[in-house]
Amino acid sequence: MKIHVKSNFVVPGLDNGEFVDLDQSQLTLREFLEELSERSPTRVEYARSGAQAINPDEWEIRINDIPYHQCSRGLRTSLKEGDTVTIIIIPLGGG
Amino acid sequence: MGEYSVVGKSVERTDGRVKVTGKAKYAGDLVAPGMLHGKLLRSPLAHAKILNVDTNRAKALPGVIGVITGKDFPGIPYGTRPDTRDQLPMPITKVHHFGEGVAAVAAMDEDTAEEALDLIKVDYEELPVVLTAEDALKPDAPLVNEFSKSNLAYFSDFNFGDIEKGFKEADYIREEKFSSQRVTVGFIEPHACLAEVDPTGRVLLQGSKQSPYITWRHMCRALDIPLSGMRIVNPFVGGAFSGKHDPFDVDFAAAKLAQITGRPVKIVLNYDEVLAAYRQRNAMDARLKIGVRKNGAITALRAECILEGGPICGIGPFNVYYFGAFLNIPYKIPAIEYHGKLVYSNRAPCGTVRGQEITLAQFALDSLLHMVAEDLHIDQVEIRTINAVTDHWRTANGMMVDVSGLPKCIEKSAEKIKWQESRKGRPKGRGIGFSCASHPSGPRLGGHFGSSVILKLVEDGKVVLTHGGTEIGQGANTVFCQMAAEVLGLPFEDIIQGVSDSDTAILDSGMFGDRCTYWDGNATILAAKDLKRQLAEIAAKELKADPEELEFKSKRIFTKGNPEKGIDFLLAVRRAYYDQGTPLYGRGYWAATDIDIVDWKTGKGNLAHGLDFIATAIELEVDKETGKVTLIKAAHGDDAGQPINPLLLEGQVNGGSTHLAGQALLEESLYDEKGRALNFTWRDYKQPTSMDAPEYVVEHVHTHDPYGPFGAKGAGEASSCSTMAAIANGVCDAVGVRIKDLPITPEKILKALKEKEAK
Repeated sequence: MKIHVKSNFVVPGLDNGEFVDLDQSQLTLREFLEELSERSPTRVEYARSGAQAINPDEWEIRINDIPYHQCSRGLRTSLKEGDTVTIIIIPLGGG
Repeated sequence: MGEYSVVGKSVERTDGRVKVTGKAKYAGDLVAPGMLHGKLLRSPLAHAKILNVDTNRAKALPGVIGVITGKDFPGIPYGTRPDTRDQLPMPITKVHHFGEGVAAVAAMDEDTAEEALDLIKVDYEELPVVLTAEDALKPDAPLVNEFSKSNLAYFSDFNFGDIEKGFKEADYIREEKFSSQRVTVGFIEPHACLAEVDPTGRVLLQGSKQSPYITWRHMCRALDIPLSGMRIVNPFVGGAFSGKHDPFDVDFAAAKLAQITGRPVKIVLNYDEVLAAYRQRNAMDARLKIGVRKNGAITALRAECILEGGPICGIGPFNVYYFGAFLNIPYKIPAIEYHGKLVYSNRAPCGTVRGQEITLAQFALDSLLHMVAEDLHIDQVEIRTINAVTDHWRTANGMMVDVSGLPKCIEKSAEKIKWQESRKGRPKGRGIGFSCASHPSGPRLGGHFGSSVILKLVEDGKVVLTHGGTEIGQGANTVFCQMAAEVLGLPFEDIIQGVSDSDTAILDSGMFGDRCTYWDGNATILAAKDLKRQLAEIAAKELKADPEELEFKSKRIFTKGNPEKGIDFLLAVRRAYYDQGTPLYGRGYWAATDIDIVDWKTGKGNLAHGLDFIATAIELEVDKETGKVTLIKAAHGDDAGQPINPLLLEGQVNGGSTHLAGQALLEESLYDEKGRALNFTWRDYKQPTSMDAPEYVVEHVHTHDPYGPFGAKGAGEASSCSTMAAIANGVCDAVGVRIKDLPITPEKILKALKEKEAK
């Protein structure tokens, strides 16, 4: 299954920069984010283990341009072939 | 541009008298009942495993109330971005740089705390050090940061426009390498804070912080407390220049010791500690390749930059981003290719310094432009004028330049430095260097990014202004009071600056990037208009007039064109309080929601409003016998839109220029082969003083920014971006040698002169 990734930063571990090829035929948003985390060298944490929601101070996540929390199953939303997950990074700081 | 009563006037700054008379209270001046004094034990090694920390003897010393190490914290890493969290409040498994705090003590007095530090025994296993970018990127380099599997901390690759086409269109191509050194930040007041914990467990931190919001958020995360579990109040701050955004071990240790002991804990660093172990500017290695037409117009630029940033990522990604994205200004460059890297090392952690890494980019770019002009026999003023961005210019990465006074700034600086006259003849050893620069008025980050202001109308008709920015010496409080006074038709003195307190103010996302005047200024205007609207409704009843038709001027509210038909401002205030029982607040919130959020991946987008511009011309003299450079005169043509307070603006321009003259000529944080800092006292680390400053001339080029408060733009950082190249170019003009690695020391000049003579 191919999931497209849109982001405003270089997603660590996403070698081609634009999509993830997965062996699974079905997985939830949480599982997808965990997979991304696994692939990153420093295990970037998108969804804290056990948390019911993404920390909005850290990431803004959308599925096919719809904020994930507006999807009825939130982090448990199933992704399907060709879906696009958008990840916006939220920094804390400046020069 | 309207006729203003308060805006545009050089009124006395709100904090001037208390500061110069020594009455202002900084963090180090604060006291609290039962207060303890804290001290930090520092690592003598730059890189080592921490095998054991024995604090028993220190804890047993009479007068010692608390001792902590890194293990007393929850072990939650924090960092500027959620993908670069690589710092702990204090280290647990290893030390990463010389002077890193490994333990802290709270005692009844400073002497006891100091004595207790000697009783703490730390067992280290020394590790090999990484000191340079080259070392860091070697395949077998020791890993610096335990949260990363590589010494490459961050990278960016940007492509703007068609680079191949750009170089094909060039008649002339030149490529050069540039480098710059580690420098410290240079504020007057060392890091200091007072932490207290109330009976409910809520932490109060009063510290010397530039961006209390950033400190607050990072601290709550790393201490594992909710945001509402911490209150942060800023006392007077003795300068910051980007060196006080983050929380440091000082802040964490004071808070943790206060939690453990239940008593207020104050920690004040001495300056040796600051110079050895706290924020510095990255060392840089850069390679620039430029393509130009015969007439000097730039067609393409390729830039590579490696920043060595110490053992943390910190705001390094911003530094890499700023270097690359803002190559698009101040010159029209149709195509840019950029590759930036940040690497870990075992030198002191980097943040940035005034002007961020635009300063380094501009040093390289404008030095290169000087070389190009010489090769093509184009006048230095002409080549900058040809390339200067103009009104409504869309840069290759998509930024919209709404208003550019740069061409006029170049003209003014050349005129004031007497450029044309100097070409006819000048004393031996004298030269003039030019450089231009631009700086945005604040970027748009994700998350909380707006600015807010609250005006509280006091019963006596005065107004208390509370904003979310931070007064760090730049004059923010003064210009906001001017703006509020202007809108409300009150004298400047009737606006009183309130306290920066997270319980009563919505803190800005940070005090950086020339954003404060612009963002908080707009919020101030909106807050004043909100208050004015409420007062107008009250006055309108009294005057039987349309509230929309009322004017506020000279402490009066009256119908337009008829000052006789009106009431005193104070009477309207009393009506609110006494007749309606309505205390009045004006609230204003402003954020540039129409600019693009920072795109770290591409560097593209309309990244900022309020691009301020500067053209700097510096006349200097080089003593060929000693290599010493003496700055004689600096002429800045400066476009900060409408100056709100011309004198303060001039201070910002000259301050930025003097500050960076230090990096250009004098300063360098030195380390030995084991990564130990060598020159961490003011005796050995040379910063410029007033004795090193040249005669300054600032020509304000008045423009009107369509989004800025009263047409103003940000200010203060552009001159820091233009000064280093102007000095390097001036040295070249004076004695014909080009120094491309900062600082431009007498030794380097003499060596270059010798090499030149040998040819």
